[in-house]
Amino acid sequence: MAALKEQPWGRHALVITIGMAWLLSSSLWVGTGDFPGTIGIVQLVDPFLLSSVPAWIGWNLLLWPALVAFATRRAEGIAGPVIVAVLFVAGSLESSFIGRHAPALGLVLACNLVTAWELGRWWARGAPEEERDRVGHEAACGLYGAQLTIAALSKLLLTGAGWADGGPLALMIYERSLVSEGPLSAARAWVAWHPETASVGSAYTLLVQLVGFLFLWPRLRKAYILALLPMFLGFALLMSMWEPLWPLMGIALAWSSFGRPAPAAGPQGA
Amino acid sequence: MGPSRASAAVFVLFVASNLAIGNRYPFYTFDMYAQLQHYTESAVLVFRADGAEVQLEMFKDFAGPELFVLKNPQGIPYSMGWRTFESRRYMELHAAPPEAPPGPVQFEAGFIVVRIGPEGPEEVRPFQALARGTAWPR
Repeated sequence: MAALKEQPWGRHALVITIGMAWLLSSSLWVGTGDFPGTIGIVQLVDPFLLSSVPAWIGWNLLLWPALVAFATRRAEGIAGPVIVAVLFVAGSLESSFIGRHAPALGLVLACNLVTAWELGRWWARGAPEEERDRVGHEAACGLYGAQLTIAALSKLLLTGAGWADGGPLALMIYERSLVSEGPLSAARAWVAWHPETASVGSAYTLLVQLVGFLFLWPRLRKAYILALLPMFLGFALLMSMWEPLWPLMGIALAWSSFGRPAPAAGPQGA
Repeated sequence: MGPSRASAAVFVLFVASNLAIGNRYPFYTFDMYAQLQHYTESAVLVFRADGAEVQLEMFKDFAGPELFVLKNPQGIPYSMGWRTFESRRYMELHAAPPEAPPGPVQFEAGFIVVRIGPEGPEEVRPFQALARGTAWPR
């Protein structure tokens, strides 16, 4: 595991995540003429201008060089803000396109992780680059834990402990059994016929999200991600919520680093 | 080793700002389906061809303006807005040419209402059409 930590694959995983999130989002709104909402930057700039094919080419010409620069650690002071800006525009257009303040969760996570990374590095400005990277990585971990704790707190504020009642969840799973086929449909129907299993899933989800703050402790991160994996698997199989970027980013944060590889130990183990 | 100051500060900053501002992009609370938590019945979008329930992907072309402006069921809890969106998108992308004659199959998009009753899942309201048109099977 120590060898993994010394590899910069966490940063590469982040870059791939951002690229995927961008392509998924922009495939929805590029060249479309239908924007029922005016959300984010769309309140200030005509969405047809921002989403036109020439504009989309322009966004790609900004984003992909920035991603390459970010991955290879060139022009770091510019690459991060450019990535955040392009993802913010993508999220604005996607939200305006679907008419809700809720773009894809992977896009939200990617944008926020880079923002937190940049905040961390700014916080440690003036320190050696290795220290700025370490602080940036810690800030990204704080963000990841915060997103999960927010998810639990918002459910508690809206529904109280009622969230742990699996009845409504079993109903939603049953709906999804009716619009799917094969083993997936059968598994969903089974849960709907046994709503107590949905109650266990609801309570587990609420608990594991609520303790998202545990991700702030470096030595607890791997265990916490392992505890999250059943939740993501349940979301995917039972609720049709395919969010691979979330577990991928959690694994990258816990097992690798967005920063530089750790310096090799000297002959005396210095 | 405990939490670093950076991770703790970002944690507090993001939790406080997202909960204070709520679901206003770029802030988001990930409340997901919490608003539906008190509901006991909900709508499911389904498709029918000549009266039989079908999957959308069984058809290659669609005609009928109602299909291309398909909206969510109104006045009933509904948790799959994404399905309405994706279905409408699919039909738009597979729209028959405007000059084409009507398709060979009468096609309907609509919803049923289901609940988890004392005996288990059950349909409590029969199919209600939202949009009608015609379609061409694959």
